[in-house]
Formats: sequence, structure tokens, C-alpha cells
Amino acid sequence: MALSQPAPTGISEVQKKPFPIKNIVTSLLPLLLLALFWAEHTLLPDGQMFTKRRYLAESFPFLMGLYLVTFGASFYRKDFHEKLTYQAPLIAGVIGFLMLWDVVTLKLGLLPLPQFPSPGAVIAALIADAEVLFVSIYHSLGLLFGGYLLGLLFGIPTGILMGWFSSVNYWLSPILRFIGPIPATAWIPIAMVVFPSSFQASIFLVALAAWFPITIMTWSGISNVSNSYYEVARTLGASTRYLILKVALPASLPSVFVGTFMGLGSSFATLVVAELLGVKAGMGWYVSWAQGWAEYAKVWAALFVMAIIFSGTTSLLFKVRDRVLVWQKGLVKW
Amino acid sequence: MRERWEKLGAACLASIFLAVVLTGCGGGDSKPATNPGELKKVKIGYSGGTCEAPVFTALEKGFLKEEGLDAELVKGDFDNNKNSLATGKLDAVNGLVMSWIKPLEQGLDAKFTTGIHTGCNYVLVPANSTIKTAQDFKGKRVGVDAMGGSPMMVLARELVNNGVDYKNDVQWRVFPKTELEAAYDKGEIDAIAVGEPFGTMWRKKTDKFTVLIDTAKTPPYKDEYCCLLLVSGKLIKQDEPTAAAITRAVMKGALYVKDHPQEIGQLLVEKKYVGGTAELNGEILSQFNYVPSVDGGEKAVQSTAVEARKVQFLDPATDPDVLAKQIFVRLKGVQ
Repeated sequence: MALSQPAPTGISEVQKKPFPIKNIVTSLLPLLLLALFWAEHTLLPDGQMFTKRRYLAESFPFLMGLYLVTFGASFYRKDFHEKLTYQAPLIAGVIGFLMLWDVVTLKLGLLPLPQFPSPGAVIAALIADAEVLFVSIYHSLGLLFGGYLLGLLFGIPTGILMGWFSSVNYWLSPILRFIGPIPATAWIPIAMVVFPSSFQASIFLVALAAWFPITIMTWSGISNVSNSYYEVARTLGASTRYLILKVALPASLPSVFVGTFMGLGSSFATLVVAELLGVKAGMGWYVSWAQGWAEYAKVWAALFVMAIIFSGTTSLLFKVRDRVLVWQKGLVKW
Repeated sequence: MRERWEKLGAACLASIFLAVVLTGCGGGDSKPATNPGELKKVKIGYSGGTCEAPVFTALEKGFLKEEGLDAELVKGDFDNNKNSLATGKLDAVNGLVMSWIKPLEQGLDAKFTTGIHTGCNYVLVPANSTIKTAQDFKGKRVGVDAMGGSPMMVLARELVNNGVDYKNDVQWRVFPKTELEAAYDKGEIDAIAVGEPFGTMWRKKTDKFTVLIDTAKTPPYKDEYCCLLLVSGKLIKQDEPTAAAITRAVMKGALYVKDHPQEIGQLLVEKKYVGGTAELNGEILSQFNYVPSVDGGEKAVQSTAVEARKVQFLDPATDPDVLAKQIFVRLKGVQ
């Protein structure tokens, strides 16, 4: 399935060789599996209760048409065709998994409701609650970015101070060790008392979750900077400020970025807890509501959306990292 | 070199296999057959609310033993109890019909068997507030401890039945139960809809709160059973006599609570089943009508299903009467 076409080397050179059959078959795998899925979904009898609109069944012709069009269009652009051929088995795998999921829940009823809804139920939940989900995404992103940026703003300076000044380290390190294991839920009563509004309390919870790993990794990065860098800079007449900002910080950036990734993950995980405090909408708020009502199709739909957002923000962070650490590109894979 | 990779691969597969076996075998849940004369083991879930007094009473006063049951009480919150009951890890739970109607509609494998007591939901407003009727709730913010929970449904019913659009005209804010008062103090919410024991605790602060709705006293809720007993679908299918025995024992417990609220209030606190003082618990227990009734339970399920459909908690495709019949069961030997 690997790409085996050499890229065209000149403007006038056009690939004259015919496309290998193997690539074409691979690219058509998703189509085959879509057809199988369509057959399974419409021909087999239902074994599980299903009262929603059958969006999945209705979408098959559209999906197959879409893939055919994409496949046809790919013949006009070499690199796109290669990418499609490369991704085709994965796409086919996903479709196969959805089909298996459908068989085990909707058709055979092997896994019981309400804990195991079929893919059609999750899609129906996504479409039915699209408006609520959009509003919730908007609110959650606001909370997430607000808290995360605050965590960054406090975390990086704290880490630098801890890594550089041993007196700061002396006082802050035990505090860090103590705060670390305290779960976000335990902070709720304190946050509600200290902060004038529950929104601020929510931001505090997310910021705290991000602050902890960011501080630790920044501290670690700064304190691990090789002494030889400082010696060289000092012989050239560098002041302390220069040493911190132009030597220590850039050298510790790889470690700092590890901290930012961990902080992002922690912020996400704390989102559900933070949204217990009087939010108007939010992904965590939505998941709690759906869980209380045992509407697990909605829970899965929301988790799917959250996974996309998490994946997207992490990719964004990686892009930032790649620009800043251009000399280290390719070292860590996402 | 290749041998090394093969060994590594085999070691990885072996450890995964071991992990699967350990976790899989650890969860074996087969109930051993009991000899005649031995007590049958059952698990009853609770969350630590005063309402659940009949369950504690049934254990402590020996009613469960009389019915031939060796009961173990398992503590968990609402979500845990829901899932445990549905998968048969718990045999019975005391539950608010308005909180359970939606999960049961979604297919949770459990059924109501009897009504236990009326009223334990409250809607509280500021002591001298302008909010006196349903119409006054337009544009206000109401604090609840869960979206779509029992207290929210009570207020939603009141609003819908008086022509107020509870979805668009009222803002609902969720807070943990313990933080609702703090949120109210900060001015983030204008009213609170909550259950016990906070309802009784806060209504005492008469300079702060006024009770607008008390489902034990306000019509039409006052005659409706609020807490019912739920039994897992698995138990009903496999061992209906035991399900009936649990139900009878808890009903006896309820009658005892009705006649001795102060004594049971004391017992709850002594045995650390619930928080608060003995006096507070005794007071709460004496407010509710603890006369258990299968008919009352059935009627409550029917009216809750209809109302839940009205406030659009239930799916549009659900027929409330069909649902009510599906989720309530009259066990043999239970009156």
C-alpha cells in the first residue's frame, strides 16, 4: 500500500506510467466497506430499540458519492492521490469498525441499552443537539483558553524563578508537592468562597490544572540547562537578566513545551469539574446532563466532539512549537 | 537479533494476556446457591439521604431478616447507583421517580415496585422576593444540583402548567448541592430548586428564604409519591420472590418510620447513614407521608410519565402510558 510513484522532477515532465492496480484497489477499499456497511445496516433486522430518525441509513448514497468524487478528483493531483492511497486503509478500518459496532449493538443487541447505543443513535444525537453543542463548544473553549492562558502566565515565570533562584525553590517546592495530588473537586468549596463569581472559580480550577505541570516542566528545564552555556555567556559579559532570558529560557524551551502539552491535557480533564459551577453551557455541563439522564448516545457524541477539539488544540500547540523550536522539528511525533 | 525481537514480542503478548485474565477472572459474579434455612444475600444501594430511612430501618429493625434476606447496604451516588442497578450489581435502590423516569425510558434495566413516600423537593425563593407565581420566574436564574433532575422537573412542571416556557424564559444554573447557598449569596441565582436535607435546612432561615413549593404540602404534588423502590431487572427476571421480599421488607420499614420518626432520625445519625443532627432528620421524616403503597407508586409513575412528556424531558417518540406500564411491576406477594 506504500506510495511508490516518484514525484515529477520538472515542470514539463508528466508521469507517463499508468497507475499501479494495487494502489487503485487500495483506494477503493473504503468504498467496498461502505457498501458492506450499507447492506448490513439496511438488510439485517434490528435487535435493539431505535426510535430516532435514521440519518445513517439516509447518508450512505451521499457518502459513497462523495468518496467516488474525491477518488476521481485525486487523479488530477499526484500528491493528493498518494495521500488518499495512504489514508485509504485507515478510512476503511474506521468504516469497518463502525459496521462492527452497528452489528453488535443495533442488529444483534449483544450489548445492552442504554450503555451501548448504536452509531446511528450517536449520529442522531449529534444532529438533534447540534445547536446546544455549538453553544457548549463556544463556552467550553472560552473557559479552556481563559484558564489555560492564566496557567501559562503564572506557570512559566514561577518555573523560571524556581529553576533559577534556590531561595524561591526552597519555599515553593514543598507547596508544589502538596498541591499536586489535590483533585480539582476538592478545590470547589475554597474556590467558591474566595472568588466573587462562579465563572472566576471555574477559570481558577482550569488554570490550576494547567499551572502545575507547566511550572514543574519549566523549573526542570531551567535547572537542567548546561553550565557551559552560562560560562560562555558570562565570559562575554552577560548580566543576570540576559542569562535568564536569553540563555536559560531558550535552552529550556523543549522542556517548557512538554509542560504546555501536559497542561493542555490537564485543563481538558478538569473542564468537566470546572463546569459543575453554574455555567450556562459547556461540554462538561452537557455530558453531566446526558449522564444523569442515561442518554449515553449523547455522552458519546459529546466525547467525540471533545476529542476533535482536543486533537485540534494540541495540533495547534504543536504548530507553535515547531515554529519556535524549528531546529528540533521532527523529534516528537503527534 | 531476530530471536530477541520474537522473545520481546512473545513477552508483551503474554503480559497482555495475563492482564486480561486477571481482570476478567476477578469479576466473577455468580451467586452461590443458598441452602434452605440460610439467608439470601442481597445488595441494596443508598446515597446517604434522609429519605432512604425505610431501607436503613428495614435492615436495622430486622425486617429484611424476617423476609429471609441477608442485606448488604452499598453506598454510592446517583450515577453509580444507576449503573450498578442496571447491571445487577445492586438488587434494589430507593429512588425519586422524577429522577429515574428518563434513565428508565432510555432502557435502563430496572423497575419500580412500590411507592414509599411523598414529597422531598423544594423550590426556595428569597424571603421578601417578588417571585410569587410561576409567571414571576420569567427571566430569572434558578439554581439546581443537576440538569433534568427531580427538583428541576418539579419547577419545570409548575412553569409549563402555568404557561411559562421553562426552556427559554428561565435560566438554569447547575451547582453542587453544597454550593447552592453560596451561589445564591453571591447573587448568581434568584431561586433554588433542591431536595433534602438542604430543603429543610434552608427553609429554617426564614429571614433568607421563603418556600414557594414544598412537594409534601403544595398541591398537586402533595399526593404524589416521590420516592419509590426500584429493583434491578435482572433480579426480577431471575428471582421474583426475592424481589418481592425486598419490597415487602422496605414497605414494613416505611411504616415503622411513619410511626417512629424521631427514633429513626436518631438511628440514622448514630449509625452514620446520613449527616446532620438527629433532630433535623426526625423533623424531615415526620413531614413526609411514609405510608407505602403499591397503588400510589403506580399512579405516581403514570402521572410522572405524562408530566415528563409534557415538559419534554422524554423523547417525542415515547408514549407515556406505554412507558409507565413498562417500568412499574406489581410483584406477586406484594400488596
